[in-house]
Amino acid sequence: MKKGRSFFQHFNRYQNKISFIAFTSVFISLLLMITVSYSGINELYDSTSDEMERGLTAVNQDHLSNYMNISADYIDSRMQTFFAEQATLAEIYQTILDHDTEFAPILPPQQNTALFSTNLSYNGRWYQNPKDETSSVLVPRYLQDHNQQIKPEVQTVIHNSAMFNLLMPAFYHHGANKLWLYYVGPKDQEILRTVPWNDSGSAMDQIYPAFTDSPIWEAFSPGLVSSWEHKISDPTFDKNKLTELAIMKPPSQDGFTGKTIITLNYPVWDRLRSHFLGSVSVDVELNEIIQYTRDLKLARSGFAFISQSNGNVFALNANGEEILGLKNAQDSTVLRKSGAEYNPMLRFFKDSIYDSVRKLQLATTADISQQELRINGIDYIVLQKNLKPVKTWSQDKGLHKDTWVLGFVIPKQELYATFYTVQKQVKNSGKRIIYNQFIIVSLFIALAAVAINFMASRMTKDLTQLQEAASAIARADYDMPIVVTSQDEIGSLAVTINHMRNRIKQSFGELTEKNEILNRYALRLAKLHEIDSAILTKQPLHTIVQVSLKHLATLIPCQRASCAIADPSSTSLTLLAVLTERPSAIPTDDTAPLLPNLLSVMQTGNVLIVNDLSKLADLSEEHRLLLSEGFHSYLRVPLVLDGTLLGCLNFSALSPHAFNQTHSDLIHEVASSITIALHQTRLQEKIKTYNAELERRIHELEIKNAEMERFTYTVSHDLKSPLITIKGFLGMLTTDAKAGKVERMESDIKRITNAADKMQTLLEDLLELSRVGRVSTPASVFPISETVQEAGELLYGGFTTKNIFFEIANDMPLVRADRSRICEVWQNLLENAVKYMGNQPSPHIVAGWLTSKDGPIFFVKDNGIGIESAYQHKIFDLFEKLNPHSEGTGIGLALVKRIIELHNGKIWVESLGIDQGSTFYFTLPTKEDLT
Amino acid sequence: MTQQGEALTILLVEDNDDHAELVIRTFEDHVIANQMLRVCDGREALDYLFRCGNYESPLISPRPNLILLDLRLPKVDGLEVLQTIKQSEDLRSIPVVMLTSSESEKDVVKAYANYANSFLVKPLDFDKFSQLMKDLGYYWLCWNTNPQLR
Repeated sequence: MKKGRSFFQHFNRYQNKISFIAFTSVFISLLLMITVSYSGINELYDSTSDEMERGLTAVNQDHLSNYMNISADYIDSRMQTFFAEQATLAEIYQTILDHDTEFAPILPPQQNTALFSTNLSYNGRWYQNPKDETSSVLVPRYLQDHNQQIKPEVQTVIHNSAMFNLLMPAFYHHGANKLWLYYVGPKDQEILRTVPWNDSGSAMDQIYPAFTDSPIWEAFSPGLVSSWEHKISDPTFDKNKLTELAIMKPPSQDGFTGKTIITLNYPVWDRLRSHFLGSVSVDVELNEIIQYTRDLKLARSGFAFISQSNGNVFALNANGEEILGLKNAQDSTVLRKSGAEYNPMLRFFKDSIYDSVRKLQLATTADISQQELRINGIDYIVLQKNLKPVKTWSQDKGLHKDTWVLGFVIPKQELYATFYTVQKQVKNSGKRIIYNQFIIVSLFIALAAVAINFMASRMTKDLTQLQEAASAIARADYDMPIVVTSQDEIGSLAVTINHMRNRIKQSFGELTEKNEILNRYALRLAKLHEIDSAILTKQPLHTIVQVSLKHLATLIPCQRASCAIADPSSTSLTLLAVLTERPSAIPTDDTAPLLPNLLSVMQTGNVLIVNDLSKLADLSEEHRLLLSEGFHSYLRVPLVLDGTLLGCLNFSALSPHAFNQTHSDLIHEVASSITIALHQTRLQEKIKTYNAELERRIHELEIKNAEMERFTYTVSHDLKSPLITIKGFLGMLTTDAKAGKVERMESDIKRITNAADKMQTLLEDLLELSRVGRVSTPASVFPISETVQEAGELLYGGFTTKNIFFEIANDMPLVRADRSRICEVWQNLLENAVKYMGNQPSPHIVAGWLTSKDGPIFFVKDNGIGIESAYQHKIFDLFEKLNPHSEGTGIGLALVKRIIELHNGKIWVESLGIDQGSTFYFTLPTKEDLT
Repeated sequence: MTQQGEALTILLVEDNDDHAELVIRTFEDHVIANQMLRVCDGREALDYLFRCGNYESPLISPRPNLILLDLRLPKVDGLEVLQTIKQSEDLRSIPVVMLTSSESEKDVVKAYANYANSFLVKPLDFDKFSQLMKDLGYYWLCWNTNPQLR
């Protein structure tokens, strides 16, 4: 009760009432302002984040899926080549076995020719032929009869298999990298014929000394031969599909050389397909596929792997090994199985040191699956797909198919790196705005509280006195005169009453005057409120400034008000808005340089008031202009935030001494709001720039995706083409062999070999093309003339041969690029110029350069067959060849274009048509582009 | 078997010499009465059909009863050749069979959108390849009634 009374007692005082109401209204309007701007910033932040995340997720997924599909296609096609080459070799031999009587006449007597001779010598444990023969033949001693001579049936196998001396060397030298090609005889006739020649007896002795007395099939692959025999005797098996029996053994280390290999075995049979006649085998080097997988570049630290379906990871780089915790899982111990030593290279996911990796589910379909995996506190995106199934064999499962899994592991953070950075920046700017507003508002509230309190106390002081006097009179407080008891006459009492009446009258006058001040103050608050509303409703900056100047002009005695804004680097001021009663000599949008001394004065934020321009000793250009237009007073308030000058407000009046501290204070209040609006505008412009950059990148990625889709399409088409040729002519060969027609055989085998070669070249060129994008050497600055000379050396050992007149410019400028790649560009262009010279009697090739406003343009010009204008746009596309009979794969110019574009250069061709010669032009960044 | 006895003309548009040889030989094997003419690229195919360039005389460019058309061809690609044929009033009634190694869904859609009469993918397996050529020959040249050509 006592407390309540004392609270309301405070409100009996005018001063406190006025203070309370004014303060509350200011407080509420400021609170409203801060809430609206906070929600505005949040809304902007939310919508920007969502859109960026959606866009990036979609683009990244498409990009990765394409990348994965193209990698899988590459590995699948490589594996297909391995099988195709081996099947070709084995099926030719099978054809020869099936038609041995027909072939017998065309074969020379074996022992008498250098190509087919096998001179075996015995060392007490095994027979081995000498080094100068085509293939190595190894016969262990258990193949002797009781007379200690090689059994006659084994002799026959040696004789028959000599055909491999004709076939194997060609297959060894072409196609995939092979360690050995070899033939193992049937059970109990297990001779080993290997190409190229090696001391196979001694090598075998090292890894398996018991080989001299035990059958090889049972030692190395116990049960494999029975599996084959079981399958071929199955009545449902189509005996024309011998390819179905070809198997691949899982990756292992070669016992002799230590290289990583896969062994492909293809059994051959008698004519009735009932007796096993040995196996044609190939040890193919797997290094290329493993290295390809290790080199795949996925974001900054992502990596790829290939694993068998049982989770054994055989292709993985060191970084991946570390991340997946498989570093100590590698079992490199040599296993001994039925006596023979080999290293099966085991490294399973289930042996990882991380629980999440141990539980990883491997893909089971060829569609790409995606999952998130948390390893050691970091989130990764894991993409997987199955490669094409391969036929294989194991002791426990027999003949079956195994499916390898290709996987991509990429840190989630890296995938969305751009997004996280932009999101963080936007969030920080938002926080800064809110923080700045909060500080300004708090200061403003404190200032308002003090100002209101001070004004109120001054306004009510006289009123209180009047009230006290009136109360005294009303109360007929006769004590009052006691204060002035020094006058004891009655007259003086009347004078006192009169005096009191006058005092009341006078006090009324004063009261009216104070009321007016109060009204002006309320008006001023209303104006300030309108200015803030303009800012809060997100009006354009120009409108906010116009409104502010209009309201300020009604509160400040001026004939001209203007606002100028500084550029972001604070080097110039631009006039944004002018409110004037007489025409101004300076147009809006006028920009004037901001001198450093003026900048440092304005950056302090101090207000400048000039009372009389005509009395100023040192007039600036601006002041002189104002004086010439009749202005005398001048007031300037800089707009400063965090020590940065954003602009200034200027007021001019015709009369001298027009401005005082009150005006300056008032403008200062408005200036704070305009400063915030200015700052907000700048931030919004920054966000717009970020968004534009993001859209540009998304567009770039979309173009890359489309390019990759075209690439996958052409690759799958052109790689299939030679396979059709190989299979087709192999079929022809079989038909012809059955019919005994031999006239076309030689040319058909040549077509098969050419197709296999073509496929090899195609794959090598493709690998080179994909390397251009993935493996990059840092750019260096070098004279480009050197690379032209090097290209010439590599192609023709200099520019002096081939009856061609070369004209090579030696004054070419320095460029900044990947040196070896640029050498490749010259090589390809010069090679093409020579290749497409046609029947030109005096060939002439120029390598030179031109200058242009965008920098140097390099060119290779020839007077050869030229290019019709209709086809000029196609020649840089992958696999485009205008003449189907010309040599080459159609990759050369695609490679050149890719190299030039990776250097941000351009390449184009000009030719007037057939027999008019062609000129290939390209641009590169020069040394000056460094800066 | 409406045109029994007449030697029918097939125009083979194929840039790959080996594939062309395979098609020609497998046709020969199945003894279907025909005259197989081969051109190496899209430009040459159009020259033949519109009788210009090296094929001005109708004597050396008889109207084919069937066109076997590869998709990826140098100079002018197969799809463009198909478009041009099907836009020509004189040529559009000749059956055009796309014979390609592409299995791309896009190619199939585009070929039929341009009125291809059939779309065949070259099989990898030789037996299937041979069977396909046989079926193709019997279907288009024996069973199918082809329009009379000018």
